[in-house]
Amino acid sequence: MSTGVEGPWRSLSPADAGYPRLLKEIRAAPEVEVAGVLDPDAEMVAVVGSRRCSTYGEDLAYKLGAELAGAGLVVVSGLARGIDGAAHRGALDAGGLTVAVMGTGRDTIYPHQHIALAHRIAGQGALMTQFPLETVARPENFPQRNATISGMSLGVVVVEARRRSGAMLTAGAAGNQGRVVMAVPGSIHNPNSRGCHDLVRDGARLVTGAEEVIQELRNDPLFQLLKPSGPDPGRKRYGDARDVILELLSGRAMTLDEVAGRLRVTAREAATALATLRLDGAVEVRDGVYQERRRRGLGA
Amino acid sequence: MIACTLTACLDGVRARRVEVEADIGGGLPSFSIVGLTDRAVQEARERVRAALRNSGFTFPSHRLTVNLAPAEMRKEGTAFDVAIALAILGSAGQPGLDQRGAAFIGELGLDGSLRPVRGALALTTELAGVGAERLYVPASNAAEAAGCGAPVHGVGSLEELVAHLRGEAAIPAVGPPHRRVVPAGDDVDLSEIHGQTVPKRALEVAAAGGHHVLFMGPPGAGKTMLARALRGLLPDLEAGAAREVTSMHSVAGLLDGVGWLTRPPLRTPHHSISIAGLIGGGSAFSPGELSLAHRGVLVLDELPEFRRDCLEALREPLEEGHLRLSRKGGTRLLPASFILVATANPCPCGRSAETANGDDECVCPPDMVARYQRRISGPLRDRIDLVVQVRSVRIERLGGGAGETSIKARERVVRARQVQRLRQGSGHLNAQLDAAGLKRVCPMEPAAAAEVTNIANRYRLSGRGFHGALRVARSIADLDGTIAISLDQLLEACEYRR
Repeated sequence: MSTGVEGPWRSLSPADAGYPRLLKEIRAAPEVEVAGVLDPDAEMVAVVGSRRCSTYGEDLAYKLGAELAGAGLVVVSGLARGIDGAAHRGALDAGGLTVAVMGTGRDTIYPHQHIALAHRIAGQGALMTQFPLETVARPENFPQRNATISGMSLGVVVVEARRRSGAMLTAGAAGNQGRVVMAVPGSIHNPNSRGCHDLVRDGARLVTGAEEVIQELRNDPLFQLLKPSGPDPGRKRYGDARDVILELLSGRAMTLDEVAGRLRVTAREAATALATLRLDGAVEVRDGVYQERRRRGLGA
Repeated sequence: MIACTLTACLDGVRARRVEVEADIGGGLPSFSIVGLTDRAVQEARERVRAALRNSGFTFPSHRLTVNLAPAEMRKEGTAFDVAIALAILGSAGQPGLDQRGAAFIGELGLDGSLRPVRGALALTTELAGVGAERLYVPASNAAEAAGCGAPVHGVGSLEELVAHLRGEAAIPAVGPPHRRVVPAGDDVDLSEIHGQTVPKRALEVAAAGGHHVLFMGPPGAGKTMLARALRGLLPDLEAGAAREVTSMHSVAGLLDGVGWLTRPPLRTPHHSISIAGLIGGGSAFSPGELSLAHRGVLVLDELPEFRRDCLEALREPLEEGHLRLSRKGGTRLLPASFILVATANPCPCGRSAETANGDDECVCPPDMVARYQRRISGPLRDRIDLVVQVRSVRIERLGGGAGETSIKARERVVRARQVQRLRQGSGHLNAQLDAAGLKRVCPMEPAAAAEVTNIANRYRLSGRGFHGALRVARSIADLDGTIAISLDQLLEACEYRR
């Protein structure tokens, strides 16, 4: 009996080029099997929490997943019930990428209610496991899996967690690995938020939304690791006035006339150059003002 | 004895023939005018009585009845005075008045002099159309009325007119209307505007194809100046259009009697204008700004500040080139084919456009900004083919070269319009092309045709939106003098659409 995802699985060891950059850095980086698309240089962020969570927590996880994925980050979680599942779904619905790090072998999806979700993730991100075939869900495997989740991420956001829970273990692993630990506060009466409050007390960053998460990650030195070295591939790709326009727009949003004025060209020349840049998706227009299309992700 | 004279009455911006019948019968002396008349016509009794007496005639001391036919039509104004006086003279048995084929318009002064009336051109055109062979109008209306289709005689006084009708004096017919040079007035010359390459280009395209333009930008960016430069790019009015414009201004009483208008009108109503002021109306009908801008330019500064009903009233003329006015006594179709140049601030305080770059602080709450922009409704915006952002030109660039003059740019516009006239017929500009017309006149180069779907998707253009872009592309191609539309021309057009 198999409840796994069939798709082509491939093995990755830390020595492989396709192995996640940050995960390489942790102690005892595991060999993993992957199904789907996994960009080793992607900026990833983990969103984790309780399996038994409140509606508040679930909504929040969904929203965070959606907004972080919408900003171009890859949302990592554990495919579990509750917060994990909501975070995955949010990322998927926002059209972003998400990675599920499983605590089982590739032939088993746990919980089985998430089989459909797992298929969606394999098509819009990746499933990943470090356990051999026929490994079923066992409590003693989860800490290793949690270390993988935090290891491949720039930071971990804990949405709802009880004091003694898997999410707290992930946060602990993240702290040990030097990842940013963030926690979303909740009601002081809700046992599901007590773990989060403990984390804040211990020095985790308090976050209330995706913007703050992105800000925290951007401020983290680890982020520099992922920055591609060498010249920005976004520039100098046309070899004509369009490069100059991109350069201009990177500093300041401008109207068509301002671009024409700066370049000292006719309206026709400015308009057609900007039109081809728009068709390429390199430039976008808001309220009639042209701006360089924001590079997705954390790139400031 | 009954006598009859021919005259005409304004009905909206057109005119209709009116016959004046006078009857003198037995009874106590009295003078009544019947035929659905307004107060101004009733007062004609006093003017006519005094004018006749002061011109040396005896006012009949009998029972005098004057009827204005057709009796069911509402009649207003003072243009019947002369016709009434002549009908009275005729019925009183003045000998030798030769009125065959003649028609008369004009108001009388108490001394018998003829005073100018509103709408002389419309009145005489109607009379010439129904077969009048010679037209007698007040001398100061003669220049305007000449060219109505029949000989026009300018008359100074009632005495002179009667002498002429008896064959005792000659009143020469006036020559064809002289086309006069209108001083620039409110116009701004392109060379007075520094920088603003793209807005100027948009004006040229708008003038070439008759497209409506919206300039968006903060206060002080020069939007109004740009708007006032459009008329200078338009060619002189052709004969037919000059007649329409002159007639319209005459009906509104805005003509100074010097001749026909040959330059397109420029109307700049303030945003506090009422709906009646915009579309026309009033008990003595007067055309509104939309009709006065016919064949010319309508500048609506601060478009979102106009009243909502005024904004909605713009939709029909923008789309159809005329407007339908339903009033007591039926529906009138008024010409209102103009180029709209509107300006708008991005928000009530006008500074939000600068805020993005930290130049100045906008204090408008976001929901107010959204509400402000929604005032220009989607359907209205859809009818504006060119939307251009305007920013203040930086001081250091103000000193630059003056740029070309309006006359120079107008030459290109004239050429582009000639192309359109040959292709689409007179009076059909690119802006008025419908879907079928576009299909006919917009062949595309293969490179452009291949990109159409891609462009429509990327720019999120609806069917209507794409047609708008295509119309502008057609005008750009006409300015370039090419038959097929190239990819560059199409892309340029797309960038001028918001």
